Amino acid sequence: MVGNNLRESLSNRLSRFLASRGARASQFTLGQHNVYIFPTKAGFAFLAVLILMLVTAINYQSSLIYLVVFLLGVLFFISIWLCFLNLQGLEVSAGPVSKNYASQDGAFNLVLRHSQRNVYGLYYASMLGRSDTCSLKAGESLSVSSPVGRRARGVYYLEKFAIESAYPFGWIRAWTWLKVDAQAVVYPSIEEPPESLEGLGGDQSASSGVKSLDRDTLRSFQVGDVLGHVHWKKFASSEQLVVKDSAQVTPSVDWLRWDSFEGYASEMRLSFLCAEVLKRSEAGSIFGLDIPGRTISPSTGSKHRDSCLLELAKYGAVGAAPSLIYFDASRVGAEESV
Amino acid sequence: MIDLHAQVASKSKAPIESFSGWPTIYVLGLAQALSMWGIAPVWLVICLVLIVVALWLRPGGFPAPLRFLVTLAMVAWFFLYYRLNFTVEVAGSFLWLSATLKLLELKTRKDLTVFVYVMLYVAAVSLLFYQSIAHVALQCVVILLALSILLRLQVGPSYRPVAHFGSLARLLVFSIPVVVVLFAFFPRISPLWSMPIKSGAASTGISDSMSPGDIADLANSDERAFRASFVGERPTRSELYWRGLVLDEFDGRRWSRGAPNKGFRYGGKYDIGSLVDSEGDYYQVMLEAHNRDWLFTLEGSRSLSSHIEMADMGLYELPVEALQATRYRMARDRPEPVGLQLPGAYKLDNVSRSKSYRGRDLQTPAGGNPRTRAYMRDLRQTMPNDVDLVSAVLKKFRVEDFSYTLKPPFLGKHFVDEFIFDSKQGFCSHYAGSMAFMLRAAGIPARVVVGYQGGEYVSDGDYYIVRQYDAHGWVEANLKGLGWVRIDPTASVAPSRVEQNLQEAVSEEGTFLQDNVFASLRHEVAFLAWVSLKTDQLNYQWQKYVVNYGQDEQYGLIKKLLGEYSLARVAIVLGGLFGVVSLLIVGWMFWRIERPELNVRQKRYLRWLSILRWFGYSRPVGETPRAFLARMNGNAHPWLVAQTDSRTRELEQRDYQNGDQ
Repeated sequence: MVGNNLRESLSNRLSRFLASRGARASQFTLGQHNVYIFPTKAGFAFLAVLILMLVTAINYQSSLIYLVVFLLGVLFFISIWLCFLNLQGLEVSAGPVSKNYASQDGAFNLVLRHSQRNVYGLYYASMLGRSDTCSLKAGESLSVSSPVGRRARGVYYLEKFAIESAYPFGWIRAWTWLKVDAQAVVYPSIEEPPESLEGLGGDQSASSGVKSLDRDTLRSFQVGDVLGHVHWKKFASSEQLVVKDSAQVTPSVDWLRWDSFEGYASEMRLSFLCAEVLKRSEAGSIFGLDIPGRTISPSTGSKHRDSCLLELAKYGAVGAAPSLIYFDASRVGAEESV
Repeated sequence: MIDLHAQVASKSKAPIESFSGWPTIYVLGLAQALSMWGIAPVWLVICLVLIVVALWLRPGGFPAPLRFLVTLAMVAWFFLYYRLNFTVEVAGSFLWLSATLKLLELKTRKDLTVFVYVMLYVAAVSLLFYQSIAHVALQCVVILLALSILLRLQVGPSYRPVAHFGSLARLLVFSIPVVVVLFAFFPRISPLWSMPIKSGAASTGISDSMSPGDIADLANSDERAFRASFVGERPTRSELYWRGLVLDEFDGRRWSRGAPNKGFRYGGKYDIGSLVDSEGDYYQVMLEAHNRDWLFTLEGSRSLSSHIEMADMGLYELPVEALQATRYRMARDRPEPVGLQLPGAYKLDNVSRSKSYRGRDLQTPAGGNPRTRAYMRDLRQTMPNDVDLVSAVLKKFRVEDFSYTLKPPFLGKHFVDEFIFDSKQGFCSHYAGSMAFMLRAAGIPARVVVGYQGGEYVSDGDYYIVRQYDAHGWVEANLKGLGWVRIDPTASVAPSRVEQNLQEAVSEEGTFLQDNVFASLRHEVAFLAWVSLKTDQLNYQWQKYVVNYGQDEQYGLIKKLLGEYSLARVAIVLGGLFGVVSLLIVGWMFWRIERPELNVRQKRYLRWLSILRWFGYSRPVGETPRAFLARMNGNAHPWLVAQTDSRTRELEQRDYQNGDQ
């Protein structure tokens, strides 16, 4: 028991120490400062074979076996360098933030690139899994993703990302742990609100849905117009940007409110709101979001939609975060525009 | 961190279905079979080759029951064959067998790694048995294949056989200088223990018994018995009597070695020993592995080697059978000719045996060969002097129509009688065996000595090759007033055998290497003879300088290079090597990191700039190629300007149009 406790506390200390090492950044270049190197089990086994060979060479005074031992020994020594050089200069950067709904599988996206050399036999791993070997051609970018799995809504950060390689012979392993600033946002799952609650106390009757074209008038595009309202067919034929102007010249403002779903659990409310946000943004209407502790003023467009969804995802801190991925609401606020 | 390690460990258990390098594995299996040919028993080699081929043809592998059956059968056969013999041969064969059987169920990366490691060790062990350049080249291939499998395992699907194999070979070539230094300076330690290398290997060359016709069989082989090089005066051909064994027991037909004085076999370690430098003349022998413990030395030799032992009657022996090529060095006093008294005979020192065994040199079988006995009795009565008697016997051989032949007629029960009085055709074994018996019948202590006579001199390498067809038998007799002398009756019958060689001696008969097509081709086609001689020379140098590089040679080399032999100096050299190599690697690394990868056009442009520098035009840092061109335009030779212009344009156009850096 004591041993177990001791081991546990040691491993906790170790992981705390490792967690404290190195800063979080969106891009890393591998080099002496962040690559670790050590023989693998297979490497130690190989050394054991070499020692056996050396004993054979000594006992039978066999020069040729000495030669083989020296040749393989020198290769072992060189392979330390080759193993390091293989990773050296590899650039690891955070890829696009992945956005998923709670019922879907998410992933952290990263980009690996080496501008000068081919990189062979790479494995990358997070706590959630390990990849197969992959290789990288000089100058080409390789997008990799580390799965998040199905998780509760929230914003997740990749805590540690490991890259390793035992190139060339599997005797030596070079690896690195990086705190890459890769994010995965998990939105609430989408739940259609019940029919009776449609129109939910907004300032305006349900005006979603694109009006048929014959009732619309066309006017020229102004800055601020929703792209979804541009009459693209017209643009294709006349190269004039015209906007389908529905009956209301100034579209009315929807407010999606927390309080509209009185009596539902908060997760359910978030799911309803999520569905509403998607519906409205598809329709191109202008809407605002009002949930406890956060209000987003009415706007439109995909950026607006994402920030609304992000707010929904962030609402309250739910669920214990796994060790690798952690929930960090304070950081999200600072980077709302992601 | 702990979790990550757990994953690393599980990586080795990952299945290798996606591994695409199976042909390499099978080629490795077959190459290893080739190198085990002659080490492992023939049935084992054939079975394992069949298994590998079957696996290659049936990628799905064997069904489980068959797999089990094959494994069980092979292992059972192996143990029935070898029983509980424990030698390196058995251990090596068993490792090889189990690694090859592992191929039957190669499931994980770990399995494959184990297979490769065992194959590497087996490759090393096989070098205990064969040391020729060809075998070493084969082992290089095995090692290269093994490493390529490991590499492929790491690189995965993007492995490009040609490119990666090339870079692997390059890696090996680059490491050769370091390997050479390590080889020369790494301290050689005396053997700690040794277990016997081979179990019951077939021996080659002369054996310890001789019936009529035995040596004639060897005359059909041009295999090498040993090589010898002389420091100081080179002996004449007729001096080269290489004594191997004394045969002193005669049963009326067969001469054999009485109980050898030395009883212990497998007692010693496989020590290549040290050689003592000598002020005077000496010679060095590189004995091929003949799987026996006797050595071949010239008459009057004294040992200059620590690992060989002097046996009775001036013979030398190894503590263990010569299962590997073995070298030894001897000093030599030339035997003195007896002179006119007995032409062709030489006085020998130090060949008498311990007193209690002296009776052996007069032993004759109880009965048989009555005619010879009667003849010798009569001769003895007329000639009380030993020398006269020997002369008479030699004269009989010379004067009567005795002939020297490789195809003697078959002789019956009274072999000496039939030979001396009837057939009169024989090979050296007939003459030596008969004469020794005749002398014993006359009361003169005599014995047959077998070994080799002569050798082919290779003038390029300044050494002799002694081949199996140089095998020879002659007589040593203890004559009153002279002591032990060497008498070669064959020389009386066929002087060309001793003065030239066997080929000359039987040239009329045309039987030289008659039954050995390849050997006779090698001798008769000039080109083949030249190639075989050159190959031998190369192998000889290889054996001399590489295979037999030991403590002594290391001592000599270090003394020559570093002034004195001390572990501290060796440590400094090795440490220095380590440092230099590390520095080189680090330097190369930084050179590689700092240097941007240039494309062909950029390299061409930079080359052109370095040419222009010869003409006195240089582009300062910061000046664009175009500005440089403009500056050139005014004051350089038009041809230079034109060249610069075209290169500049090439540089700009391609780089900026295609953007393919």
